[in-house]
Amino acid sequence: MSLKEFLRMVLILTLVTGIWGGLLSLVKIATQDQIEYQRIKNIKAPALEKAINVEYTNDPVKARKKIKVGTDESGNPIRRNVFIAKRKGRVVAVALEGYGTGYGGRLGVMVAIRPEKRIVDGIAVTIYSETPGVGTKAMKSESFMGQFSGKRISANFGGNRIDAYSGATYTSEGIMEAVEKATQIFSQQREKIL
Amino acid sequence: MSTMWQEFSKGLWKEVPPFRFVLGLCPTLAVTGKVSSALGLGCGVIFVLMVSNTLISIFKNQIPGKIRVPVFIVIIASAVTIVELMMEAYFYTLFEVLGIWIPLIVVNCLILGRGEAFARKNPVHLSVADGLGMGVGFTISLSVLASFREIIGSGTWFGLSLLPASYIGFELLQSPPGAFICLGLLLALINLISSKMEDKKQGC
Repeated sequence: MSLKEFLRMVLILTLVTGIWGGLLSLVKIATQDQIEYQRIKNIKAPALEKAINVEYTNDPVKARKKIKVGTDESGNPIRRNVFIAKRKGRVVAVALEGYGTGYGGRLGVMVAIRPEKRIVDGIAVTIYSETPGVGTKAMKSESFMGQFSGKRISANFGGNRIDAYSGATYTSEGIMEAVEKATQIFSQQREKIL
Repeated sequence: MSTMWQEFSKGLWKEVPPFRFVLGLCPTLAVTGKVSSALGLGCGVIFVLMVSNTLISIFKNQIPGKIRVPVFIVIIASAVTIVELMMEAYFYTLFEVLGIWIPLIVVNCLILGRGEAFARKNPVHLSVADGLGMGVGFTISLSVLASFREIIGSGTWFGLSLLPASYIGFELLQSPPGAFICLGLLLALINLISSKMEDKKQGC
C-alpha cells in the first residue's frame, strides 16, 4: 500500500464521519425540544392529570416553565419544571414536584396549587420506592391523599394538620414533606412562576 | 423503467429478505409480537435501506475498496440514529415498544448486505428501487408474521379485538419460541407455493 493510497483512505474516512457527525448534530438540535416534551408528557402527564382537579383547557406540559430552586455542590443551578394549567387564558392551577424521604428512599410528589385561593388543588405520587402493599397503600388511599386538597399552602403540612395513614407512617411523612417543599418553592417564587 | 420495476419487485417475492435469504432474523423474531411494532420497525428499515443504498451507489467510485465496510457502517449507523431521534420525537409510544431494536437496525445484515451486494455495483436509480423493494418486502414479511402471531396468539390485530372475548389466546405464539415456530411454518408455506408455481411453469 503506497503512502498516497493510505492518506486517501484516512482522508475519506475522516470526511465521511465528519460530515455525518455534523448532520446528526443538526438533527439532534432540531428534535431535542420535541423529545424533551415527549419524555415529560409520557412520564409526568399521568401524575399531572391526577393532581390537577380544577378544569383546564390548555396543555400544561406545553405551558411549562423552568425555575431555579437552588444550586448543587458544584454551584450549578438546579432547575425544576413548573406546569401551568389555564382556562380561557387565565392561570387556574400550577403544578410542580416536591421531594421527600419515605421508608424506601426518595419520594416525588406532583403538587397542584390554585394560586388565587392559595390552596392545594390535589397531589399525586410520581416516583417512589416504598414497600408494595404497605407504603404504597398510603399513596393509593383516597382518604389520605385527599386530605391535602383545599388546605392553605401557608399551612404546615406535617404534624397535626394531616392524619398519617395507619401502618405507613414513614411513607405518609415523606409525602407530607414533599408537599411542604413544593408549596414552599411556590410561595417563594410566586412572581416568577405566574 | 422495466428494470427498475424488476429490481423493486424482486424484493417482494422472489428474493423477499427474511424468507428467502433468512436475513435479519433477530428483529424479525423480536418485534413480531404485535403488528404495530412490526410495521414501525419495518418503516425504519425502509428509510435506512433507502439512505444507505442511495449514498453507497452515488459514491461507489470514490470509496476505496479497502475501507468500504467502515464507510458503509458509518452511513448506516447515522441513518439509524436519525430514525431513532425522529421516532423518539414524534412516535414516542412506538419508540418505547421498539426500544433496543431501533439501534440494532445497524447490525441488521440485510442493510449492509444490500449495500455490499447490490448498491456498490449498480447505478443510483436501480439501487433506490432495490432498497425500496427489499425494505417493503421486509416490512410486509414482518407484518404477515406479526398478524399471524397477534391474531392467533391474543385474538387482536393492531390492538383491535378480532375474535370474541371468550377466546383465551394461544400464549405460546406470543413468546419467543412461538416466533420460531411461526417463522418455520411461513417458510414452509412460501416454499410450497413457489414449488407449485415452478411446477405450473414447467407444465406449460
